[in-house]
Amino acid sequence: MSATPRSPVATALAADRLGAASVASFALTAAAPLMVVGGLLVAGWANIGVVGFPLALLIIGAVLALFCFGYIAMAQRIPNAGAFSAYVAQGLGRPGGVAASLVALLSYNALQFGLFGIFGAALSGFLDSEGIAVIPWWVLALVAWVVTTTFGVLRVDLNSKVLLTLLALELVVVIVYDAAFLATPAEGLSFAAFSPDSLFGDLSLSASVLVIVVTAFIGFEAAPVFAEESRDARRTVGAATFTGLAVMLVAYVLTTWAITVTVGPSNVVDAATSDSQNLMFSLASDRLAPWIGTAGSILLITSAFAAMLSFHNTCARYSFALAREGVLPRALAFTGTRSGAPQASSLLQSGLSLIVVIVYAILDLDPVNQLFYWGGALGGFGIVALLIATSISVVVYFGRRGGDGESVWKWLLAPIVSAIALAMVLVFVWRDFHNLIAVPPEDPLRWIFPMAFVAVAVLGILWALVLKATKPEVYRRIGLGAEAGPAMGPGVDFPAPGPASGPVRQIETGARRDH
Amino acid sequence: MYLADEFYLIAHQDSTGQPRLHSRAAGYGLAAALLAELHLHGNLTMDDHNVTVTSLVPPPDPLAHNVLEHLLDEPYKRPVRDWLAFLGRTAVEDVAKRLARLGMLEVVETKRLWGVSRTYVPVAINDAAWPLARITTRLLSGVTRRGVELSLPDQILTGLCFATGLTRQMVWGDEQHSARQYLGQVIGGLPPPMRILVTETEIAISKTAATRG
Repeated sequence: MSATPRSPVATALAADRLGAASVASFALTAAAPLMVVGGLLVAGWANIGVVGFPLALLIIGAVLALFCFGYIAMAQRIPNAGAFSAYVAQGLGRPGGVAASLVALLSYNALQFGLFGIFGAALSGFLDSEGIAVIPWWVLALVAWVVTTTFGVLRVDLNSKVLLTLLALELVVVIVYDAAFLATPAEGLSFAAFSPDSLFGDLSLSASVLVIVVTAFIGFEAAPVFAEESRDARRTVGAATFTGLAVMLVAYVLTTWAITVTVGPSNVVDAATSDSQNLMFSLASDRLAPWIGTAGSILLITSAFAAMLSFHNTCARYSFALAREGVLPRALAFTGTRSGAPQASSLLQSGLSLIVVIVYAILDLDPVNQLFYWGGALGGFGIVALLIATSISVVVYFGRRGGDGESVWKWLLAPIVSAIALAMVLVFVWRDFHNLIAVPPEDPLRWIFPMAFVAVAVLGILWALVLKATKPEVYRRIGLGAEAGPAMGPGVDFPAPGPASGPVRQIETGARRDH
Repeated sequence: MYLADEFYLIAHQDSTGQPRLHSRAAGYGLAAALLAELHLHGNLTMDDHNVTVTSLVPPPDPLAHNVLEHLLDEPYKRPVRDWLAFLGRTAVEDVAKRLARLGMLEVVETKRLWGVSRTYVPVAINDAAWPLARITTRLLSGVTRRGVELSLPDQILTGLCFATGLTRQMVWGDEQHSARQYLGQVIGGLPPPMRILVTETEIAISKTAATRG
């Protein structure tokens, strides 16, 4: 904070705001290292059959870091709880913004559905292996559903201390595992998992790996959501984002590499296939002591649960913000007077999750490979598309303003490079989508899943155009999120938010903070 | 009774003193009510950008005086939202204390597992229930178009009840829709500074639902 802030009001308000550690902890809830490596990436090895995940993590880590330069520059100009869609609305126009918001909603919901799978499966497996009880995964998923639904309606959120403690414990476990894995190499201390051959043998397979790896990093994009609540939109958000990315990058690269070392790079795909739910923990139990493997399993379960709460609220807030704008039905903007929770949209998310869990239970589908892994793959796919659209929006937004005081690197070069890299990933994964979700090429899901994203995006654009023609006052508010004024119903003259409420004022505040 | 006092009583149960609102919403609502008091006394006005002090005539009450002091101490002009956030931190406690001084509330201490919880409980239930009953009745008669002229303070109170979501507890079922229409008219008919205050309060509260707030 500089110039203005040292007034009594500014000091008091700053004390209430979030620091970088809190913001990073919110971002990292989704980034539970044990769940991402032990769950997602091991499933990735098994389903895609490519060794080079460690190299893929390095590449995507770099691409996302490039993405973040422009993304953070946007965050301090347009603070909004639905960052991607707000930025796209500003850069590519409101129809693009609505398309982006629906794609984001679909992606985050897919991720959330997947979490029910991993939580149920991991807890069920744990209770079974410890000889406590044999309970089907979906029963446990339903128990978790009851808790997330209740917490969502009552607005219970894990605070940053709990989240940081969980994360610290996970990192300790991961470091212990990595040390043990690296000390017991199967084929020598091999760097084979970093060689280009290990990743780029077949480009459609490599693209699938890269999408799954994007999923691994999800959460890195969360910090700008807290821009307005943070002490300093530029520094706090930037520090939280890059710290989050760095922590994830180091933890994921080191751990995936250590696993390839301890089972041997040539053997890792087979090992993952034969033990896709539990590989990391059984390795740790063998090499260290059974209780250390158990500790990891427990932390995977707790962190999956924390991630569920976090994604539930992300989804609920996202649809709440869209309902405030009038893009989704106004009824979804209903909040509890006593709880302050976005109750209607929270219940919508719960309802969708319940349907998914029940359908999976009835059809007896696999909770890890067909729910958690698919949810992650689809969520990652949607996020890749959003990252591309956001990067282009950054370039357009700043281009129109002659850079607006940002360096050419931040607003032009970095976003363009990341957009090109991610667009290549998207094109290759689109061509052979069956590889990403590990189904035969003729399986209709190979088209149904990606086309769902296209359909939602097209629907968003059309809906925006309908709004433009029929309800121009709603159209005008697209991208404002909760800032859009209260909805009074048709034909009621209520003051629309004036110039002071929209992004315009935010730009002024942003600029004032900088000088 | 002052405007913020009445809003406090509306926002709390008349018999138990328990809040009807989320704590952040209660803070914003009472902060807005305190600003409205000063506006009614001619001390300040607000536009889309800032709150501006227009008169130094001392307000009749120490709390209002205190709020005005804060406004005067601040070297920079600040938007309504900053003041809502700043005053909202302490507004609930501040107004409760003022009501306690007036003899409307008393502190009741309850032993809990850890320590003692202090609650402000209305001394006379009927007095405490009056503002809510009045606003509800006027809202309902407005809805059924039997037409009641609302005084400016009641208009502002109604607006703040809408902004904090309390009107949803006053009107039920089929009347919800026409209530929204009527509320739109009431709020639309406010003088511009008070309309801005109501809108900013509503937005500030809804933003707490959109983030971890």
